[in-house]
Amino acid sequence: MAKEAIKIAIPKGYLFEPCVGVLEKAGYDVSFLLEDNRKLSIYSSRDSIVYIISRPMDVPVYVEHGACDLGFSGKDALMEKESKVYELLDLKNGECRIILATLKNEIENVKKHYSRFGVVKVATSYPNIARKYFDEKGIQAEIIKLHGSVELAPALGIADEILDITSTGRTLEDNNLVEMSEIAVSTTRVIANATSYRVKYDLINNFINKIKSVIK
Amino acid sequence: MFDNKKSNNIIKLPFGTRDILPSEIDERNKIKELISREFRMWGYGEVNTPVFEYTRNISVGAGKNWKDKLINFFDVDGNPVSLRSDMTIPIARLAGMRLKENQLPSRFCYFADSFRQSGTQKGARRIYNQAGLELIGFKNSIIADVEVLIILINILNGLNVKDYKIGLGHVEFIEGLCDWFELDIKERDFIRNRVILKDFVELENFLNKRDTKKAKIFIKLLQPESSIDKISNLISDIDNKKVIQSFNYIKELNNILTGLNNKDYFITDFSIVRDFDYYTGLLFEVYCPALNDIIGSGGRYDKLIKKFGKDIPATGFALDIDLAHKAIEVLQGKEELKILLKTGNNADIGDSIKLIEIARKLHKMGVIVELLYEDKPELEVFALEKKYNIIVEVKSNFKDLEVLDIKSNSRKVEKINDFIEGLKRR
Repeated sequence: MAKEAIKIAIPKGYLFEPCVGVLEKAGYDVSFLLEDNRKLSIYSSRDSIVYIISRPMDVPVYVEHGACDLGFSGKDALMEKESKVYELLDLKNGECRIILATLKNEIENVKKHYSRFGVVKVATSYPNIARKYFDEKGIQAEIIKLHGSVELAPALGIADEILDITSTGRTLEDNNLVEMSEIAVSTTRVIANATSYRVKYDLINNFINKIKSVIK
Repeated sequence: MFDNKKSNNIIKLPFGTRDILPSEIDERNKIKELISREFRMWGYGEVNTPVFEYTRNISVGAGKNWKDKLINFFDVDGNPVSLRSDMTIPIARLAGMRLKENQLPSRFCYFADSFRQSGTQKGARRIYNQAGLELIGFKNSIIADVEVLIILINILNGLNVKDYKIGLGHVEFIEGLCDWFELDIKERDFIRNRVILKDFVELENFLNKRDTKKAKIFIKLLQPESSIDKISNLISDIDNKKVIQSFNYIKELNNILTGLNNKDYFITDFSIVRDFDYYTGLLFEVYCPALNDIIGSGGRYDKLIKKFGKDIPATGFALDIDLAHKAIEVLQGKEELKILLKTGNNADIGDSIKLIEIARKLHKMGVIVELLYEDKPELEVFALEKKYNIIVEVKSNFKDLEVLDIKSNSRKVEKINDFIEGLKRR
């Protein structure tokens, strides 16, 4: 592997395709990424890039700790992890909204419950965002961290509300949930490790400029 | 003794703290020796200050959210006290309190632990072991900054840190850019926070709303750059005093350092902001690619000592010893002779005392001798782990020795006196 290669973290899941799409448009060889295998680390010798495929929530962590120089990360993951990374570029894709939701027809009950007991139970995969949000609002919240299928929590009686991401609103609807409020809008960002950004500045800048030219 | 850890209730440490064992300390001491030699050669004298002081002193210049960053508690008389979060503030306090005009300039260095609060989930360290220096009292700031940077480079090169870069920035540059954008206090705070968070997406969005042309230059100027001329071109249209002065300072610094053959180590980066807000001019950070981390930092703090009573300019840096240690290959000191000395089986207390007498003779010759008063199974593994070269067993007649050279695995029997004579000739 060339010494001057850059390592880029690519998130699995719904952000994978848009990210690879942007890379392809910008002229990078993505054929390895599209191969149907389970490799988690792929080297493109043509572009001198190592791609690391990781869970979306781990992308900021990988970049912060220098396992990768660059990464594609949803703003939601950046807000949750509060990693010390450089946020360089907004790809303006992979848009989703971070919202609060509860069961249909239950909004009144949730409010009543809060006024009686002074605390709301919230299930989420984003405990940090949730804690900050409720702290800012001055609302006492008991935050329950779940690793997935958060939409089930109200129906199962684990929580009164959920804090989750939604793009089309379909999953909410299917699980009989309604949105109560929007907390933030998230899009995909290009992030960089603080040291890499200084030491490999030329390589990173070159990459950023190529990506920039195809998103605007 | 070690099998039943379950019954041991005291097995944890507070998060962000750790024990350090002899093998690591040995290597760190070699690093510190090298740094200490460099400090001494430039006339820096080591100082120490109390680990905790009144919060009122420690919180000076510790930044806006100092409460979250300091480890605080109460003294017996109810006064709030804090563990020091760096050494610059206590040394500034010391300078303001104790230095007299005729003692300036003062050159101080330190090797010390500092303590910073951190969130539990982040799992960050709370103890920082640093080596650093402070150069206090020169009115000509640029040449003082040059001295400090040269010493820093000498240390990094002496430690053989590979491919490092030192980023140079200036506190006033961003302030000047905000003047140029005619931003109010609230907006400046917003800009400063975006720069601290390194959120260039929001920064650009915000600036674009004001003036897209200016925004482009602003963002460009906050990117790392190795060419001073490129920056020079970018700021040619900016008629702000702070921007021009701080840029000229960095430019001149660069020229001097280039003249001293140190050009390749530096990049300019006006996005550098430090956690502490006592800095007034130059700021710098040492980036280490092997660790992808900042292993040292520093800058100029001309107004800090004034808060402790005297208006004296100063500059300095701190190097993180934990990170510096990780960044380098093990330092090769001169090979020391280390002997593990033991009696034969069934030795009594009298034999052990004789063992101590032999050890004292060897110590006088500068040989490291560790004694074993009891039998130990798998002795060679133990010796190897502790980096002993030789295991010596004193025979029960206390005249003969059985010498096992661990490396060559050769065993021989010698008279004690012959063995000592042999060591003298070594």
